[in-house]
Amino acid sequence: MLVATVVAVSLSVFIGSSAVTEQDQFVMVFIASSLRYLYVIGITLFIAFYCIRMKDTRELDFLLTRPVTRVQYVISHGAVFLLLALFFSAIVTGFLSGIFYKKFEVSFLIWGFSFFGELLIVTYLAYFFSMVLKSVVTAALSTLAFYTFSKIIGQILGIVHDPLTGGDRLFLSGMMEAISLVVPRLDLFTQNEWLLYGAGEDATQIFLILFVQTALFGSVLIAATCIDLLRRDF
Amino acid sequence: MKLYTQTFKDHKIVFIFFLFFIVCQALFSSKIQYERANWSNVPQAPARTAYVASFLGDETLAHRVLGNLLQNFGGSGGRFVAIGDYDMRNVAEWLYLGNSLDPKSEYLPFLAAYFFGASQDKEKLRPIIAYLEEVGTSGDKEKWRWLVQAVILARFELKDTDLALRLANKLASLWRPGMPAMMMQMPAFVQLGMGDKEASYRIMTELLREEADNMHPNEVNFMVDYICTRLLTAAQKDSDPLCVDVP
Repeated sequence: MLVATVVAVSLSVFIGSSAVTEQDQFVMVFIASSLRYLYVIGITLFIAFYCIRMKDTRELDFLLTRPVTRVQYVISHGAVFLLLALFFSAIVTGFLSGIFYKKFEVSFLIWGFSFFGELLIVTYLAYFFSMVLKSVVTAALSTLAFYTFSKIIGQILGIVHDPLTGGDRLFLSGMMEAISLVVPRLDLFTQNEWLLYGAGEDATQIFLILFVQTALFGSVLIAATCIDLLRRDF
Repeated sequence: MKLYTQTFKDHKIVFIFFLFFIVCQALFSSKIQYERANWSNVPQAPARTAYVASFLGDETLAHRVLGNLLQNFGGSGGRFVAIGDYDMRNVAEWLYLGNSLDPKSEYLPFLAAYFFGASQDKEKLRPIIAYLEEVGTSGDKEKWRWLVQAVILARFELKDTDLALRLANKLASLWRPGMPAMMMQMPAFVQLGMGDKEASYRIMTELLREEADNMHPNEVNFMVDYICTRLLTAAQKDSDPLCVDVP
């Protein structure tokens, strides 16, 4: 991951520096976006491989014979994965703040917190799918598909709510609205314009939305993972 | 090594087959190494929703990638295309799309004014000028400067003085106290370029009459000098009370 981070940052600096103007802004956006996707994919694969290997080598079965309840097992792993997400988001935020220290503002920290929230949701998603599914490939692909869907749900809701595009398709619009009730709004996270132009006067409201969304959906995923493990026969 | 030798002896035909085709591939590659895919000019800009969706809703990233694309259209992989050969209507579509993704950025107006504005085919500048006009009148602070660029392109590159005057009048209407006086003076400059000294004189004197108290003294001096040395003949200058102190 460290090598990939260095490569991503280097490529971003190279491509961004070729712009005729606003090179700093280009580099900032490319670094933030490339590291975001790199760490989302990296953490998904890590969690998927880790959990599936635990099941395949029967380590999970062995651990559950210890005086640890299934709920305690899931929650302890959730706590560790939270620290992992915090660590990676701190690295990326630190990178951005260090490289662009002259432009540093509170909005950098908001972006960093939103990246932590995004990574945490993806981590718990990967954990859930890895515990439910049997193969690393299906678990990873399911996580990334759900992540992609969460990222574009805002766009879909925009189309549905626009009378010109969604007005005459009531069934589809209703279906998408129903689905959006259980999908996290990851399109509201890690908005690069916070890095470029600041978060403005809505900073507090933005922070609240990020915090509540992360806490709510993270809790949903941990609870779902617990339920799946509780109903499983070993 | 022993394994390969034994395998070769047992399956000679497969190795010969492999060698034959790798040599053919090498020869073929050497013949086509200078071939390039055709560049069919600037493509039409995609729909906004589809374009943003391809970046998972990240409008800022979509804007920057679009900017990078626009800057390098026709100029990658050893290929160089004259800007005059670009389809400027499609270029303008991309500019409008990019502007809607990040209206605060100055990158695309800069590209339009200084990069695409250098087109060798001046008639193709009209879509670019229209884009700069829209950006310049968007109301954001300092964006009016792109309207100045539009006036300059219309006046000096396209040589369409009617268009330049219309844009200059629009620029003057955007002036607010605290902004440069040049915005209000622009119609006068264009009128002089059209040969209409009287109209230019009227604009300048009216400006002095109404706004002189709000202008920097250097600005007032410039306008007086402009009137007396460029708009008036020697005889008119001697009889005009404004030009008493102008040598």
